Amino acid sequence: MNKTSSDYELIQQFVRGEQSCFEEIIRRHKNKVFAYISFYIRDQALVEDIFQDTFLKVIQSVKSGKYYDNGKFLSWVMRIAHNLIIDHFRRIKQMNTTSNDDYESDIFNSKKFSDANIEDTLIKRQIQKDVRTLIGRLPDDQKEVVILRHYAGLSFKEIAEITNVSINTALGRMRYALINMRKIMEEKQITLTIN
Amino acid sequence: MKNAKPMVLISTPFVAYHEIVVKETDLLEDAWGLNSVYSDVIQFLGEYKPEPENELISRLVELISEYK
Repeated sequence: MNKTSSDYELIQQFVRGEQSCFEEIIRRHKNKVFAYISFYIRDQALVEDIFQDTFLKVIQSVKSGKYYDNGKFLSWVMRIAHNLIIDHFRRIKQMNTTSNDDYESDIFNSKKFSDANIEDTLIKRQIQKDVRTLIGRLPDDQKEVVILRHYAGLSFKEIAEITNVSINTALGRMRYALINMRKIMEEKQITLTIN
Repeated sequence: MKNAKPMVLISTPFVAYHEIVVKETDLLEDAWGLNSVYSDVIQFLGEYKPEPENELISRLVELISEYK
């Protein structure tokens, strides 16, 4: 396995039996996929479940020959994650129960909390909350573009394809999103607290 | 002419196409000037980096090894 191999080359090697190639795929894309899911689901345990299911589904599809390379592996993975998120919300709706996605986990129960510096943890938590508030207050179409660009790391061409709009529309949505977020930052007097 | 310096020391060197690094740049985004005009907001977004814990990745790798 070569670290500079393309995603498709790694997938092919994985199908031929080299498991370490899929580990490299995970290493490459884990943060983007995890961040994407975290913005839609707040319950950490659920985020982790959907994250794992996404990669297991990728393996299932790859092994059954359902993935055809067109150089857009990450977009395809994001689509799988997106469908799993939608499935989750559908299930909740069917069960007619209250979602615990609005539940902010208690930081004092966090394992990380005791290990890391308390002040840093609190500041990070505050930033996390502020960023979530900022993005959460955007209209859905703008929110989607921001998450796909800044957290999933997709290009505007890929975003346009995933969201079924033109590249100019995707860019326009991003511009409105940035304008709106700046306005909210000014209103709420949100500033950077960590350099 | 006494103070004249060789051209290379006073002129901007030419940059060849292959020297311009655009690999990590979305040229469309760049053309719209989003990063330069809204750098404050973008910087703020960059402060939040959700990442999976190592334990989760280990569990996933284990699951994959069991997957037939």
